[in-house]
Amino acid sequence: MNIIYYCFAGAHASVVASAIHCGLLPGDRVPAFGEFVDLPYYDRTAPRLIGTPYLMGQDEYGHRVYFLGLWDQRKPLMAAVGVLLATAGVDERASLFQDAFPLINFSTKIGGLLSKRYRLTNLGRRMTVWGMQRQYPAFVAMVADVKRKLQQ
Amino acid sequence: MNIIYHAKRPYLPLLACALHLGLNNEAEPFLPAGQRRDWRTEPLLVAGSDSDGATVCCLAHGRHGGLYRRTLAGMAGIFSFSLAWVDLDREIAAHGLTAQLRVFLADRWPAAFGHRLLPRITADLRASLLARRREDCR
Repeated sequence: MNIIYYCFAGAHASVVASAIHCGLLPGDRVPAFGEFVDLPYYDRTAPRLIGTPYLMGQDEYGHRVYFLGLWDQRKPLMAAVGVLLATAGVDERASLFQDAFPLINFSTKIGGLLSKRYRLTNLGRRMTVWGMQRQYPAFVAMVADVKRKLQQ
Repeated sequence: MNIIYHAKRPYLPLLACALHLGLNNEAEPFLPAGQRRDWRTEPLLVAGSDSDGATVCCLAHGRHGGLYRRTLAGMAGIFSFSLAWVDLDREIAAHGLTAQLRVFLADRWPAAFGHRLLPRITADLRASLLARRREDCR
Protein backbone atom coordinates (compact mmCIF):
# COMPACT_ATOMS: atom_id res chain seq x y z
CA MET A 1 0.00 0.00 0.00
CA ASN A 2 1.15 3.54 -0.77
CA ILE A 3 0.40 6.44 1.58
CA ILE A 4 0.84 9.89 0.09
CA TYR A 5 0.83 13.04 2.21
CA TYR A 6 0.49 16.24 0.22
CA CYS A 7 0.63 19.96 0.92
CA PHE A 8 1.45 23.21 -0.90
CA ALA A 9 5.18 22.99 -1.63
CA GLY A 10 6.11 19.53 -0.38
CA ALA A 11 8.65 21.10 1.94
CA HIS A 12 7.09 21.33 5.42
CA ALA A 13 3.69 19.84 6.28
CA SER A 14 3.84 16.73 4.10
CA VAL A 15 7.51 16.14 4.95
CA VAL A 16 6.80 16.27 8.70
CA ALA A 17 3.64 14.13 8.44
CA SER A 18 5.39 11.45 6.39
CA ALA A 19 8.40 11.50 8.75
CA ILE A 20 6.11 10.98 11.77
CA HIS A 21 4.41 8.14 9.90
CA CYS A 22 7.76 6.44 9.19
CA GLY A 23 8.99 6.94 12.75
CA LEU A 24 11.71 9.41 11.77
CA LEU A 25 10.15 11.95 14.16
CA PRO A 26 8.86 11.02 17.65
CA GLY A 27 5.15 10.75 18.38
CA ASP A 28 5.41 11.34 22.14
CA ARG A 29 7.21 14.69 22.31
CA VAL A 30 7.82 17.84 20.27
CA PRO A 31 11.12 17.55 18.35
CA ALA A 32 13.89 20.14 18.65
CA PHE A 33 14.92 22.49 15.85
CA GLY A 34 17.79 20.22 14.77
CA GLU A 35 15.54 17.18 14.43
CA PHE A 36 13.32 19.03 11.95
CA VAL A 37 16.08 20.45 9.79
CA ASP A 38 17.92 17.12 9.74
CA LEU A 39 14.94 15.54 7.97
CA PRO A 40 15.60 14.87 4.30
CA TYR A 41 13.89 17.53 2.16
CA TYR A 42 12.62 19.64 5.10
CA ASP A 43 12.44 23.21 3.69
CA ARG A 44 14.60 22.06 0.78
CA THR A 45 12.23 21.09 -2.05
CA ALA A 46 13.12 23.20 -5.08
CA PRO A 47 10.12 25.00 -6.65
CA ARG A 48 10.83 23.40 -10.04
CA LEU A 49 10.46 19.95 -8.45
CA ILE A 50 7.10 20.61 -6.81
CA GLY A 51 4.70 17.94 -8.00
CA THR A 52 7.20 15.08 -7.90
CA PRO A 53 6.31 12.50 -5.24
CA TYR A 54 9.25 11.57 -2.99
CA LEU A 55 9.59 8.40 -0.98
CA MET A 56 10.17 9.15 2.72
CA GLY A 57 10.39 5.50 3.79
CA GLN A 58 8.32 2.60 5.03
CA ASP A 59 6.19 2.30 8.13
CA GLU A 60 6.07 -0.61 10.57
CA TYR A 61 3.57 -2.48 8.35
CA GLY A 62 5.70 -2.17 5.20
CA HIS A 63 3.54 0.54 3.61
CA ARG A 64 5.50 2.94 1.45
CA VAL A 65 5.11 6.57 2.56
CA TYR A 66 5.51 9.46 0.11
CA PHE A 67 5.23 13.23 0.34
CA LEU A 68 4.19 15.56 -2.43
CA GLY A 69 3.67 19.28 -3.11
CA LEU A 70 0.73 20.31 -5.27
CA TRP A 71 1.01 24.10 -5.20
CA ASP A 72 -2.46 25.71 -5.19
CA GLN A 73 -3.80 22.90 -7.39
CA ARG A 74 -4.53 20.38 -4.65
CA LYS A 75 -8.22 19.85 -5.45
CA PRO A 76 -8.04 19.70 -9.28
CA LEU A 77 -4.86 17.64 -9.23
CA MET A 78 -6.32 15.17 -6.75
CA ALA A 79 -9.39 14.91 -9.00
CA ALA A 80 -7.12 14.24 -12.00
CA VAL A 81 -5.10 11.66 -10.05
CA GLY A 82 -8.34 9.91 -9.02
CA VAL A 83 -9.52 9.72 -12.63
CA LEU A 84 -6.14 8.50 -13.83
CA LEU A 85 -5.80 5.79 -11.18
CA ALA A 86 -9.34 4.57 -11.86
CA THR A 87 -8.61 4.49 -15.60
CA ALA A 88 -5.36 2.58 -15.04
CA GLY A 89 -7.25 0.01 -12.98
CA VAL A 90 -5.45 0.76 -9.72
CA ASP A 91 -7.35 -0.64 -6.74
CA GLU A 92 -8.69 2.17 -4.51
CA ARG A 93 -7.43 0.27 -1.47
CA ALA A 94 -3.86 0.36 -2.82
CA SER A 95 -3.41 4.01 -1.92
CA LEU A 96 -4.32 6.60 0.67
CA PHE A 97 -3.97 10.33 0.04
CA GLN A 98 -3.92 12.74 2.98
CA ASP A 99 -3.93 16.53 2.75
CA ALA A 100 -1.54 17.90 5.40
CA PHE A 101 -1.77 21.55 4.37
CA PRO A 102 -4.72 22.58 6.62
CA LEU A 103 -2.51 21.95 9.67
CA ILE A 104 0.05 24.56 8.63
CA ASN A 105 -0.11 27.75 10.69
CA PHE A 106 0.67 31.35 9.76
CA SER A 107 4.21 31.29 11.09
CA THR A 108 5.17 28.27 8.95
CA LYS A 109 3.59 29.85 5.86
CA ILE A 110 5.51 33.10 6.33
CA GLY A 111 8.70 31.20 7.18
CA GLY A 112 8.38 29.11 4.02
CA LEU A 113 7.83 32.25 1.96
CA LEU A 114 10.92 33.94 3.46
CA SER A 115 13.05 30.84 3.04
CA LYS A 116 12.05 29.84 -0.48
CA ARG A 117 11.03 33.01 -2.26
CA TYR A 118 13.18 35.66 -0.54
CA ARG A 119 16.13 33.36 0.20
CA LEU A 120 16.21 34.34 3.85
CA THR A 121 16.82 30.70 4.64
CA ASN A 122 18.08 30.99 8.20
CA LEU A 123 15.27 33.23 9.47
CA GLY A 124 12.62 31.49 7.36
CA ARG A 125 13.62 28.02 8.43
CA ARG A 126 13.54 29.01 12.11
CA MET A 127 10.04 30.43 11.66
CA THR A 128 8.81 27.28 9.92
CA VAL A 129 10.17 25.09 12.73
CA TRP A 130 8.69 27.39 15.41
CA GLY A 131 5.30 27.07 13.71
CA MET A 132 5.69 23.32 13.27
CA GLN A 133 6.52 22.85 16.95
CA ARG A 134 3.28 24.63 17.90
CA GLN A 135 1.24 22.47 15.54
CA TYR A 136 3.12 19.23 16.18
CA PRO A 137 0.43 17.51 18.32
CA ALA A 138 -2.07 18.07 15.50
CA PHE A 139 0.32 16.39 13.03
CA VAL A 140 0.76 13.42 15.38
CA ALA A 141 -3.03 13.13 15.73
CA MET A 142 -3.50 13.25 11.95
CA VAL A 143 -0.93 10.50 11.39
CA ALA A 144 -2.54 8.39 14.12
CA ASP A 145 -5.87 8.86 12.34
CA VAL A 146 -4.33 7.73 9.04
CA LYS A 147 -2.87 4.64 10.73
CA ARG A 148 -6.30 3.87 12.22
CA LYS A 149 -7.81 4.08 8.72
CA LEU A 150 -5.14 1.67 7.43
CA GLN A 151 -6.01 -0.91 10.06
CA GLN A 152 -9.74 -0.85 9.22
CA MET B 1 -1.21 2.48 -21.87
CA ASN B 2 -2.76 5.90 -21.22
CA ILE B 3 -2.27 8.62 -23.81
CA ILE B 4 -2.75 12.14 -22.47
CA TYR B 5 -3.27 15.00 -24.89
CA HIS B 6 -2.63 18.15 -22.94
CA ALA B 7 -2.54 21.90 -23.40
CA LYS B 8 -3.26 25.01 -21.40
CA ARG B 9 -6.87 25.07 -22.57
CA PRO B 10 -9.19 22.18 -23.38
CA TYR B 11 -9.92 23.10 -27.00
CA LEU B 12 -6.93 21.42 -28.69
CA PRO B 13 -6.80 18.30 -26.49
CA LEU B 14 -10.49 17.63 -27.10
CA LEU B 15 -9.93 17.96 -30.81
CA ALA B 16 -6.88 15.71 -30.71
CA CYS B 17 -8.80 13.07 -28.73
CA ALA B 18 -11.61 13.19 -31.28
CA LEU B 19 -9.10 12.74 -34.11
CA HIS B 20 -7.27 9.96 -32.31
CA LEU B 21 -10.51 8.07 -31.74
CA GLY B 22 -11.49 8.48 -35.36
CA LEU B 23 -14.41 10.80 -34.74
CA ASN B 24 -15.25 13.68 -37.00
CA ASN B 25 -14.06 17.18 -36.31
CA GLU B 26 -16.13 17.70 -33.22
CA ALA B 27 -14.45 19.67 -30.50
CA GLU B 28 -16.50 18.39 -27.59
CA PRO B 29 -17.88 14.95 -28.48
CA PHE B 30 -17.31 13.41 -25.05
CA LEU B 31 -19.43 15.80 -23.03
CA PRO B 32 -23.20 15.49 -22.62
CA ALA B 33 -24.96 17.95 -24.91
CA GLY B 34 -25.70 21.30 -23.36
CA GLN B 35 -23.49 20.71 -20.33
CA ARG B 36 -20.53 22.89 -19.49
CA ARG B 37 -17.58 21.32 -17.80
CA ASP B 38 -15.56 23.24 -15.24
CA TRP B 39 -12.04 22.39 -16.36
CA ARG B 40 -10.54 24.22 -13.39
CA THR B 41 -11.95 21.65 -10.96
CA GLU B 42 -11.95 18.60 -13.29
CA PRO B 43 -8.97 19.03 -15.58
CA LEU B 44 -8.67 15.41 -16.78
CA LEU B 45 -11.29 13.80 -19.00
CA VAL B 46 -11.22 10.23 -20.28
CA ALA B 47 -12.28 10.42 -23.93
CA GLY B 48 -12.33 6.72 -24.72
CA SER B 49 -10.23 3.76 -25.86
CA ASP B 50 -8.62 3.50 -29.27
CA SER B 51 -8.35 0.44 -31.51
CA ASP B 52 -5.08 -0.59 -29.85
CA GLY B 53 -6.73 -0.63 -26.43
CA ALA B 54 -5.00 2.52 -25.21
CA THR B 55 -7.01 4.93 -23.07
CA VAL B 56 -7.15 8.39 -24.59
CA CYS B 57 -7.38 11.30 -22.15
CA CYS B 58 -7.68 15.05 -22.43
CA LEU B 59 -5.96 17.32 -19.91
CA ALA B 60 -6.36 21.08 -19.63
CA HIS B 61 -3.83 22.24 -17.09
CA GLY B 62 -3.82 26.01 -17.43
CA ARG B 63 -0.43 27.49 -16.60
CA HIS B 64 0.56 24.54 -14.39
CA GLY B 65 1.63 22.12 -17.12
CA GLY B 66 4.89 21.08 -15.48
CA LEU B 67 3.23 20.50 -12.12
CA TYR B 68 0.51 18.28 -13.61
CA ARG B 69 3.01 16.36 -15.67
CA ARG B 70 5.35 15.70 -12.73
CA THR B 71 2.50 14.62 -10.46
CA LEU B 72 0.74 12.32 -12.92
CA ALA B 73 4.04 10.85 -14.13
CA GLY B 74 4.98 10.30 -10.48
CA MET B 75 1.71 8.43 -9.89
CA ALA B 76 2.38 6.30 -12.97
CA GLY B 77 5.80 5.45 -11.50
CA ILE B 78 4.41 4.60 -8.06
CA PHE B 79 1.52 2.48 -9.34
CA SER B 80 3.43 1.01 -12.31
CA PHE B 81 1.41 1.93 -15.36
CA SER B 82 2.54 3.66 -18.51
CA LEU B 83 1.69 7.16 -19.70
CA ALA B 84 2.36 8.81 -23.04
CA TRP B 85 2.23 12.59 -23.24
CA VAL B 86 1.40 14.73 -26.24
CA ASP B 87 1.96 18.43 -25.56
CA LEU B 88 -0.33 20.13 -28.05
CA ASP B 89 0.79 23.66 -27.24
CA ARG B 90 4.31 22.65 -28.21
CA GLU B 91 3.11 20.54 -31.12
CA ILE B 92 1.22 23.49 -32.56
CA ALA B 93 4.04 25.94 -31.88
CA ALA B 94 6.66 23.57 -33.32
CA HIS B 95 4.76 23.27 -36.58
CA GLY B 96 4.25 26.99 -36.83
CA LEU B 97 0.62 26.33 -37.45
CA THR B 98 -1.02 29.33 -35.91
CA ALA B 99 -0.50 32.25 -33.64
CA GLN B 100 -1.36 31.54 -30.02
CA LEU B 101 -3.77 34.46 -30.21
CA ARG B 102 -5.93 32.62 -32.71
CA VAL B 103 -6.09 29.55 -30.47
CA PHE B 104 -6.93 31.79 -27.54
CA LEU B 105 -9.73 33.51 -29.43
CA ALA B 106 -11.17 30.22 -30.66
CA ASP B 107 -11.04 28.81 -27.17
CA ARG B 108 -12.69 31.80 -25.54
CA TRP B 109 -15.32 32.45 -28.19
CA PRO B 110 -15.68 29.22 -30.19
CA ALA B 111 -18.90 30.34 -31.87
CA ALA B 112 -17.22 33.43 -33.31
CA PHE B 113 -13.68 32.24 -33.97
CA GLY B 114 -13.76 28.44 -33.69
CA HIS B 115 -14.89 27.72 -37.24
CA ARG B 116 -12.01 29.73 -38.68
CA LEU B 117 -9.44 27.87 -36.64
CA LEU B 118 -10.95 24.41 -36.66
CA PRO B 119 -10.33 23.25 -40.27
CA ARG B 120 -6.73 24.37 -40.26
CA ILE B 121 -5.94 23.02 -36.81
CA THR B 122 -7.72 19.79 -37.61
CA ALA B 123 -5.76 19.19 -40.79
CA ASP B 124 -2.45 20.06 -39.17
CA LEU B 125 -3.13 18.09 -36.04
CA ARG B 126 -4.16 15.06 -38.09
CA ALA B 127 -0.91 15.24 -40.04
CA SER B 128 1.07 15.68 -36.85
CA LEU B 129 -0.66 12.77 -35.10
CA LEU B 130 -0.28 10.52 -38.12
CA ALA B 131 3.43 11.31 -38.23
CA ARG B 132 3.70 10.51 -34.53
CA ARG B 133 1.81 7.25 -35.03
CA ARG B 134 4.11 6.25 -37.89
CA GLU B 135 7.11 6.96 -35.67
CA ASP B 136 5.59 4.80 -32.92
CA CYS B 137 5.08 1.93 -35.40
CA ARG B 138 8.74 1.89 -36.43
